[in-house]
Amino acid sequence: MKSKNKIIVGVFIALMGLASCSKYLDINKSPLTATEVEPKLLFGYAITAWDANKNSGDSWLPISLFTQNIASGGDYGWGKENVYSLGPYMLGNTWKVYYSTAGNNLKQAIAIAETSEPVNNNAAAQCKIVLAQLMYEATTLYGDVPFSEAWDAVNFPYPKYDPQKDVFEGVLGLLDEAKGQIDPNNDLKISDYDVYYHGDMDAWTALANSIKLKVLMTMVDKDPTKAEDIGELVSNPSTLISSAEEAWVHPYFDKTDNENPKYRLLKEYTNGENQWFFANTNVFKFMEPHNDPRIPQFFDKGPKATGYKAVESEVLADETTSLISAYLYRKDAPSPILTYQETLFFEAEAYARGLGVAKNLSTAQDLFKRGVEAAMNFYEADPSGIQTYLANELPDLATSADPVKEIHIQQWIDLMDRPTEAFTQWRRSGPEGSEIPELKRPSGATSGPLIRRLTLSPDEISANPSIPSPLPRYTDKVWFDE
Amino acid sequence: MKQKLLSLFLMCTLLFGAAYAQERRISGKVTDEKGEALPGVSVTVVGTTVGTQTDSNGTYALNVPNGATSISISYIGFITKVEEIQSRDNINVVLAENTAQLDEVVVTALGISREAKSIGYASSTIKSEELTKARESNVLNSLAGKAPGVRINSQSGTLGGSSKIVIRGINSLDASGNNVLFVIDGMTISNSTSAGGTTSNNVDYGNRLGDLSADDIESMTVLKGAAATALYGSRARDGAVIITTKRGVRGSKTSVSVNSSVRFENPLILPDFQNDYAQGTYNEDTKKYEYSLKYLNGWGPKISDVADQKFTDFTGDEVTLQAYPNNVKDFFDTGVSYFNNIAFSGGDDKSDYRLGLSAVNEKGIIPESNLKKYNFTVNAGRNFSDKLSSRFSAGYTRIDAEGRPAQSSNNTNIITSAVYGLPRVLDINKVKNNFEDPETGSQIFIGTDKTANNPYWILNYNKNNNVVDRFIGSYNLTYKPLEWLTIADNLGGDIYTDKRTSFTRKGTAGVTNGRFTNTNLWSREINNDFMVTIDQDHLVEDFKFKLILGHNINDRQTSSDNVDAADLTIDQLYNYTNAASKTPTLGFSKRRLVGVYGDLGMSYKEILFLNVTGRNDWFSTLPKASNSYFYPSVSGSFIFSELLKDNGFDWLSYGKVRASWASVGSDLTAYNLDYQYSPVSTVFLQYVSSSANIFPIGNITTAFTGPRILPNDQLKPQRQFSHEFGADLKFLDNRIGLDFTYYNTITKDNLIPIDVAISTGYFSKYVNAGSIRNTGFEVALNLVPVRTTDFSWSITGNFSRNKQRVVELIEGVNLYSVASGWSGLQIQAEVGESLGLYGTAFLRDEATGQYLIDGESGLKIAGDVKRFGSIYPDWMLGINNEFRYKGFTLSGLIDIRHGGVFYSGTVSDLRASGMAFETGGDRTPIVDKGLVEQGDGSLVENTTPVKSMQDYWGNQAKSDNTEGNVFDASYVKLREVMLSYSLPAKLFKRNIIKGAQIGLEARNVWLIKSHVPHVDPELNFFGAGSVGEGVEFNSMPSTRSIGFNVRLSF
Repeated sequence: MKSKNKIIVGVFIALMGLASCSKYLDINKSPLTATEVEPKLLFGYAITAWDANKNSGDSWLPISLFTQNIASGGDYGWGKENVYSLGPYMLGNTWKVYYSTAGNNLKQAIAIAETSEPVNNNAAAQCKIVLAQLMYEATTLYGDVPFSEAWDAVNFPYPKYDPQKDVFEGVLGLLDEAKGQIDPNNDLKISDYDVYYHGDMDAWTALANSIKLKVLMTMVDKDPTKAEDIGELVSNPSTLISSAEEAWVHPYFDKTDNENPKYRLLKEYTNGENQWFFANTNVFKFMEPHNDPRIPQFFDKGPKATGYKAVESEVLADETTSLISAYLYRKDAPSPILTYQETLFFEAEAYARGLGVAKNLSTAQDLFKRGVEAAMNFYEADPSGIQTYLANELPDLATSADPVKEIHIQQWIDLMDRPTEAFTQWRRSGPEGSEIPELKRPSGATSGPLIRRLTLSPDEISANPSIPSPLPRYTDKVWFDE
Repeated sequence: MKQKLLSLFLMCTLLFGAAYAQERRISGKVTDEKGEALPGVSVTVVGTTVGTQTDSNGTYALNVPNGATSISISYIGFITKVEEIQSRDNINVVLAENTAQLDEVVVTALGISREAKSIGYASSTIKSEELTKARESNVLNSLAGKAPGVRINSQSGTLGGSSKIVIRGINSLDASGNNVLFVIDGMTISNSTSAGGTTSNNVDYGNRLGDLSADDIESMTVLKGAAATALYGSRARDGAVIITTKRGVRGSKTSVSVNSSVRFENPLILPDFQNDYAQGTYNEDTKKYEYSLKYLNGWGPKISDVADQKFTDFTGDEVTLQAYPNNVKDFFDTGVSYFNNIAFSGGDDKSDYRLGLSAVNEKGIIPESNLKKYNFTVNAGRNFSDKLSSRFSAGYTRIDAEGRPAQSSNNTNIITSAVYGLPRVLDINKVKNNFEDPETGSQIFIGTDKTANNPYWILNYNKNNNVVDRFIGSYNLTYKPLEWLTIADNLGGDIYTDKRTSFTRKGTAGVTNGRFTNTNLWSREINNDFMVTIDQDHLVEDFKFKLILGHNINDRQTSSDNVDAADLTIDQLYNYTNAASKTPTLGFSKRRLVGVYGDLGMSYKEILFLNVTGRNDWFSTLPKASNSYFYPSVSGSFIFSELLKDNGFDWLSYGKVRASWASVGSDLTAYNLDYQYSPVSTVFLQYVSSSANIFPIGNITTAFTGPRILPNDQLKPQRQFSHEFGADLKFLDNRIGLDFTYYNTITKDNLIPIDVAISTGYFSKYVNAGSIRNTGFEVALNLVPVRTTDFSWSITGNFSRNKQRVVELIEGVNLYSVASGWSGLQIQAEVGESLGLYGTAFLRDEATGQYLIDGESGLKIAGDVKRFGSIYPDWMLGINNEFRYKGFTLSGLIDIRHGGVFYSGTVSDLRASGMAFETGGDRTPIVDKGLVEQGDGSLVENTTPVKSMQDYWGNQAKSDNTEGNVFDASYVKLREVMLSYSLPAKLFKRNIIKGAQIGLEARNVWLIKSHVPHVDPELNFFGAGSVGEGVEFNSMPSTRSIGFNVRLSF
């Protein structure tokens, strides 16, 4: 055989020898991902993705428009696509955040925290408290939702839909579980990535209690037995959020990419200016007669206006209509999740209604006044204006024909920039037809009753055979809604 | 073990290098019956391995050993002849044509050339002249309508845009599961696409097959069924296209050929606009359509009603409104393309070479867009000895494209919506001359709310460009130690980089602070095939055997690095450090497979043919326990006409039946088995970005997320089974040819990320699930109604019908979403149906089928999600007529599609914004036909007029009311027309020029019939790489081209 041929044969054999090696195929590990992470890394992503959604075009924008606490200005503004037309994106993307993007990462973080050595109980508790709020929001928006069988793809590929009451109970249970795990003396916790409380575990306990109060207040009309638990919490106000500093607030910054998502939407399209969202009569009408000091904080006058003017939902706005303020849509506007004023209003409501405590309008008035003051301070209203309002304009619950209504009006105003909470507050505020405020169907929306819930995510409908049948319509009431 | 056996076998065979001692030399010439020389004829000494081939003059010379008695002269398509040597030194041979058989050679899997008659499955071959007679810059488009069962769709009118190929229907439930394998000179190459206008990428950067130059291609053979491609294993599951490049002719002098075309393009169809109304909105208080600069639409006052009034236009001028009916048409330019190819080829007795240089220079139909493509190809072969030969084939491509338009939605730079949305009262020249403030350099917006960009601002400043550098090469070494034994190795590589840049200038609506994105894609594929071929024609009388044993290694790596930089400090300075926000993203994938295969072919008396193949692949991407899969295939053919030929069946020139069965498996993409946490810097922000940069934020410096798709370490290969029957018949001296094929393919255990209830925490999970079946038949008919010396007329028809059915999904699931569009539109798989279009339908009364109308607004009511129909055609038909008269050839190809549905987002926009023709004219509010539900639940005929036609069209054509924008996708197209003239050869005697042909070529000439208004029903938003189609959102209009061509050979 010629040497040339030997070379050829050698090359052939070498090529085959290379391939016979099973190591050759053992390359299926991504160089760009990790298989183990700390809980805080997942927590950090989950809370950021969740809050971004909450302030984005998938949640804040459509819910605000259909809850009617901001106005779209008809064709003059954003347009009408979000009025009672629940697009698959808002339904689907918001659902994805609750269960996957945020929810599942919190579940993973909890599992990692509870199985690590030593066990990181505080981190697990921090994740559980956030997850409880997530599920509270999910059920208030979507009604009956998966909870007991959620996040367990292996055992429950098609999670069942728990009745809303059970979900609320589950949320309360999760909060109690978290409280039980908290150990303020243990330094093992999420601290630097805890953008809310920087690892202050006492603040987390107060937060867990305050969420419990909110959940119970949402349940109590349908389940009066909850009054007892409400009474226990409001009788011990120090266990709740008891100062503006303890409020649960997600921060944003005056720094590129770290701005509040509402500002980012405007930045993307209109150079950061709000040209699309207007003052809604449904809120403004409660503020204007009392010269509410929040008016200049909430609204900017129209470019050709001398005074403030609101429009109803879907009514054509013009250059004299007041816009939602640049202040609310500023870059570093924080995203409140549960505030001091909300807690105070709940406490006031409990005393005004006698929920688990003796009805006491005087105590209620005190809490109500502190709540209004905290609310005005939160939005940085003019201090002298606040004092004038509190002195001259604040309704006196003791003499008011309907003290609970006065509280609900203040709750409604306070939540103008927080549509998810406002939508729940409105439904909670009275039986159908007697809600505060009274809303009417916006023009252009399909005829029929007002919207009372979100319909289910199309992705979930197509992939989960356990969905309720018949499918809920947006006019159907959820359990807590009378 | 298999490899060891092979190598042992190889060693043994090499030891038989026994040489013959004494020799004598004989020579001669081989001609056909007309006396024409036949090159490439095989001349061998009977009973030995000694042999040679004739050169280009038909001559051969051969050293024959003493004792040899005869030589065998064989050539495909001719009857083999054996000549006694006796004492002759010069043996001239005349070979007779074998009219009973097809003289057609088909390049089959792994580049194995086989006679068509021996093949047990259907294939279609398109020769070079078909590819170059009406040249397309994307060679894939040249296949449209020319091969039954092969569907080609140009995805958009983007210069250098992508084309999609589907062979015998989609066989996968995986969104990116349509992957036809392309092989060039034995080397498998990438046809990757980066989606046309999908939700994730709005720019059509083309498909990689478009990198090739049509002038360098000798033939393209489409292998359709699994039996045809079984030797390629998993990767050819969806069919394969085997490309052979042109070679030089051995023993010929250097020849030069020049082929030049110039081509002009314009939009095939543009929307029909109304020309009656200006921009504005309907005011419910005044009940009037009022003019307003805020709106870019057609819902303003009737132009003729306000002829006595002056209005402020976007430049601030006070003008009287007037319609500009051609403002959109005048926006588009005439595109011009120059195609130039020069090729040098030739060879000596032992070598051949061909060098090709191609240049394509194109200017698009939209201003500021152009593309340059250059190809340099080499194909050189050399016989080192009688036994050892090699071939090197390589090509380098460079594409430099500028101004690729953004399409679809959620991108501020979408050009079609910016142009189609121009109010009818705008003069395009005024728009063109007023897009930038000459003093401040800022954009002059057309609308007062500054949310829509001036199209000329987009074209001039917000460009998407890319540069591709690609090298494809393969080296083949063949050793033939014995006449019956061939050992060959083919090693090849395909490497490319694609550098993409997108700029958005500061001051652009939607991105007011400016942004740019750089994406660098890199891909490398290395493939090696080692093959041993054993031919045995004399082992058993009347039987011939051919055994191929092979081994394959394939390694594919891709990487991407993408940096998105936003918030620029200095205008138009596109440097990362000038950007306040930077989002870098890395991607990487590496996958390998190793395969061994064998192919045993047998024939009996050239009448019966049988092929059995087997291949085993080992995949890197599947769990080790189940990463191996064996694919068998059997195919056979029976030339029954051979038995009939002397029995009065003269009218039957040729008759063959064939059948095949095959099973193939396929793997997964890389890294889908481990539970992985990915670092992320972005979150989803609706209307801002699906990947809006946010981390680091505050103390959260880095963030991780678990997987969206739940991995599964129990996966096994996906399996596909197919069988096929066919007949190939030729009548009346081959003047009628009929080729019929029936096939049935089922893909089981699809490897798909099937949607799971999101409440599990995951969007989907990887499973082996579902099966999908494609059955169909294909008919190719050739007719030559007239054939005389000077004139011939031939008709070719290609018919194919494919019926797809989803047989099962996973238990409990009847619907699976394969791909999503905007506004709730989805492509879904439903058990019992083909992949279809799903979206929001209007509510109907079940009893009468009439629409339900909202009693207050008079509008239809949007209801639940519904299926609108299959996205694929029921059948396709291509009819080509060709007339030849002396040197003239005229041909025309008509392409017909029947069935399927099509959604148009462009139509939605045009109608909802009051721009479409049908929204003009009389705008008296109509009473929509339908029923209104009364308080008691009863239904009565609607009598409520809509409030305004703006409301009516706003509801009817709203993009998320899918039903209003769904149309029948059937069409009839005149796909190409070609007229050419070959100058008579006698003109060139003693001339340096040896031949010349001039021609007129036109492609995508005429949309003869379509049910879709305003746009071409072939557009596709999902892009060439997706199984999804039948949906369009603001796509670039497809183009019609007319060109002139000159071909010279020297």
